[in-house]
Amino acid sequence: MKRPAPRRESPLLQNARERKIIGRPEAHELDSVRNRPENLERALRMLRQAVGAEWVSDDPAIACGYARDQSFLPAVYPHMIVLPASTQEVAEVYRIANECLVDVMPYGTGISTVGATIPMFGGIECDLRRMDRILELDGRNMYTRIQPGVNFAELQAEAQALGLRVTNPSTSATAGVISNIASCNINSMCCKYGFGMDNIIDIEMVLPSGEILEAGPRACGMDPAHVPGPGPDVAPFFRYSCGTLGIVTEMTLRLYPEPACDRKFYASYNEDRLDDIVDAFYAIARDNLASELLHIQNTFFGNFMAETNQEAEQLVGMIPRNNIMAILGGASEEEARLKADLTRRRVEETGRFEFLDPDAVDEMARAKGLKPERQMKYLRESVRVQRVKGSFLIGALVDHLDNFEGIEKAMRRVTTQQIGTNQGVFRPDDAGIYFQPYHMGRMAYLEYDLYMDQSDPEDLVRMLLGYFRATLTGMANGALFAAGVGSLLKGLPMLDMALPMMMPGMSVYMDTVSALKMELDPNNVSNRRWDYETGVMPKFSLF
Amino acid sequence: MEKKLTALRETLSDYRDDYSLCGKCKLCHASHVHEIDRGRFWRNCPAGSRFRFDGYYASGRLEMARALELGEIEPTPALLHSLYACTLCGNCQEQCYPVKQLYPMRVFELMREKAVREGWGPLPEHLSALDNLEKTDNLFGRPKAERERWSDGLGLRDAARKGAEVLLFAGCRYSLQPELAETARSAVRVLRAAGLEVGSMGSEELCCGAPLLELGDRDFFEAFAAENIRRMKAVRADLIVTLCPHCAWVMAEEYAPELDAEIKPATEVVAEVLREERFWPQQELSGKAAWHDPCRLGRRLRLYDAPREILDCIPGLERVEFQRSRGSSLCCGNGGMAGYAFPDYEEWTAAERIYEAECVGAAKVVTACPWCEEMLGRGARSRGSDVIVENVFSLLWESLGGDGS
Repeated sequence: MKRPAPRRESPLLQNARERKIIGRPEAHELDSVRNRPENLERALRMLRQAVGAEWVSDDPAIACGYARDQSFLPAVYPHMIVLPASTQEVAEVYRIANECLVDVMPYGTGISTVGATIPMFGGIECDLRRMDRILELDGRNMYTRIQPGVNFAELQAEAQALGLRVTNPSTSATAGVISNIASCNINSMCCKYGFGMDNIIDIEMVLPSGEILEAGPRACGMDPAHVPGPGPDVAPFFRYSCGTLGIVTEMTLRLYPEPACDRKFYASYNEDRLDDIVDAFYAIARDNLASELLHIQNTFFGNFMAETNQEAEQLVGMIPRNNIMAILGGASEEEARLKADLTRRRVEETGRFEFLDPDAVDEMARAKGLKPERQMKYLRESVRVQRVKGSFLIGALVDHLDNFEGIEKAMRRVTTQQIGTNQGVFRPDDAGIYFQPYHMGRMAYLEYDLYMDQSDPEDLVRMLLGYFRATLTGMANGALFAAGVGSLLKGLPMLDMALPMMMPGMSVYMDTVSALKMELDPNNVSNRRWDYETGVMPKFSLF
Repeated sequence: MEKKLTALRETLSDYRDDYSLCGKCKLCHASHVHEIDRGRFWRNCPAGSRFRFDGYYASGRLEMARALELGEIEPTPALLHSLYACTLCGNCQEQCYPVKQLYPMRVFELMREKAVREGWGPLPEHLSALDNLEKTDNLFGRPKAERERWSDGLGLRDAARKGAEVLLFAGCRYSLQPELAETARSAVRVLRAAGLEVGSMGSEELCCGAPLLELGDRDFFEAFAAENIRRMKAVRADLIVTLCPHCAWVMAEEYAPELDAEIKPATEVVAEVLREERFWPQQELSGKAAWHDPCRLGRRLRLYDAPREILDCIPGLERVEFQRSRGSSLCCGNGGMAGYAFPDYEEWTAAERIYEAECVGAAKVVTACPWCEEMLGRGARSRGSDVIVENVFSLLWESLGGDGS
């Protein structure tokens, strides 16, 4: 059989290529000091020597894989990518970056909705996925020590084999545990056990200077003791630092027992009255019987519990739109049922709820061909259905439970108009929120997510306007915006001035953080956001 | 070339949404993670698991497609390496489609077609296969006359000359690899025991073209497809039974609109017969056996239950499941013609599959694909494992009382 000759590229494209009409966008400004071409070349050579040529690449085709995430930010390519395999190799990466004055962008597993790993100035993308070992898993004392390449899927499976579980991520199970926990880790168990970041025992971290810092009990050779160590406790200082203060290369964190039996609890209501929910939340949270407690409206149900979009849509149609959901665990069916009955009595005293029989809900689901047991697994372990193609912007507020009554009402008006760009995929019938008490109801967390079609500029404008309207509405009512963006907002034109105006303590705090950053990273190589000389962000980045 | 089989060809830009709107949730890297109970088995992308850069996973390769189409990047050695290191197993699409409605694997197939069309693909390591196909119409460069030797003594009906109601399409590997010939002979005996008298085109059989489609050489594939279709039409068969899932896949997806005959993989035919209880295996076998879903039979043709039903009919054989099974099955490593270019990495992938078999306590890994048989066998040898790789037809024939000769 004669092989047909390959056809030639279209002359138009060829011509365009030759004349460089199209081509890779010049994403990196030529800096007089940083990321100089000759230094990049030297850094590349040194990195190849340090970690092995196989694990370093400056090929544009490999670089483009790190140029975008789920945010709407435009693509920016790193100059080179390195995959270190150990703490020492990470330290070597920083040493080389300092010597050559090249930027370093830490990259955990690359799942981000805010451009957290997009290398704004190019430089070295430090992909940590070769550091993927669970170093220790102590079933009796319920903790684990992991490297940054370990994801929730892997850790959850290993923990469950010992009857334990890790606080689940509100994202896909392929998310890195350390990077997710370092950025808070909102999870369905946070009313009982706190956010993931509250469950860190100790860390090992490579500072931007290349020094290795151990913090927590391990710093003085103690076993992971579930207490902060001899003190002062510096383990939490990397929280929300988003790679600006270095790279966490090991983390020890608490695990929790997986109850042998559990009982679901649904309290639904017709009217959108958050005050009823707040009262019920206070009551349930203070009893601290529920392992999971959350208010998830319509589409969020699908997100958290379904396997496919079709299933999600069925589920949303099946469960009342407004719902408090709790899961009560116990060593026996009886214990779980007793806890559920007690919880029901508490909630009955607080408002106008109707209680769904969880067995009937399961039965109804089975009749529709759904699998309730599996849905529970999804809810408790990870979010599978991401439902949209395109960009996503997460909005989150933290405040006292009772303050959310007013906030939510105001925000709903703006978010309702913004969601709904995912035609034909998973149609949200209305705006929905994810609302849950935190730390036994001392605080609460409210999430509102906005979606857009990246290829539609009008949609982008609509989303951004909606997002800021929603967020500023929340903040005007006193809520803290998505705790932990300080390190990323420093130097952002207008916003770094606006924030201290809205939160007067912010300027002192930001000055302290800035001084810390300058001390630990004198050359400003680790996730550079703002210039030390000018104090401003040289390149616009929302987060 | 007689005619174009696909009147309107798809191009990479038709899938702009798919490569532009990937949200990088990385579900495509994983198996269906809620079904595993050992952390290690979350990984389900052979290329990504081995080469680790994001560009070797679907999420990164989709980005390459975007950048390539926008002219942000030129074809580079790493792009080519990543593109052909993919085994086209389809796990990424299996994980992504139900939740995002994207077609990553289709994008990679079209990237390969673009590579061949523009002359920068495939890899030099693939050229020997292309040469062989050009000169001898088979992958191995063996004389055409050798193609019928596997069936010596079986007395198969000469379908090319006399026609046949049921045409058996053995494929290059079963016909020309001596170590696989006995499997093909067992399959014929099983089909006969089921009451099906099959014919073969013998030396008139050509490569189905699947390797060409996998490499992205659609023009060359269509030359083979057109000739195969012409010859198959001449046989006037009602049913075409394929032994190799790769043949079954291209025939079902590409040939079917042009043929009047029904096309079925042999496993499906035999499972149907067993369901009708037209024959029943009696001989007791022993041990635990795990069914390895070949990617083309499973994810591509959605044939998951039929081979399991066959194994369940064999007395004494205890069937166990891989942790990564059915839609989440791990590729053996030999798909997408990757085995030609990256033998070490493919053997590494197969060894991981054998390790998984050991973890679920399987003494045998059973499959029905010659590509998987070859690679898993190599994986077992490289691990020094006691796990035996078997073909489902050999086991079935043994249980039917055959002596294997």
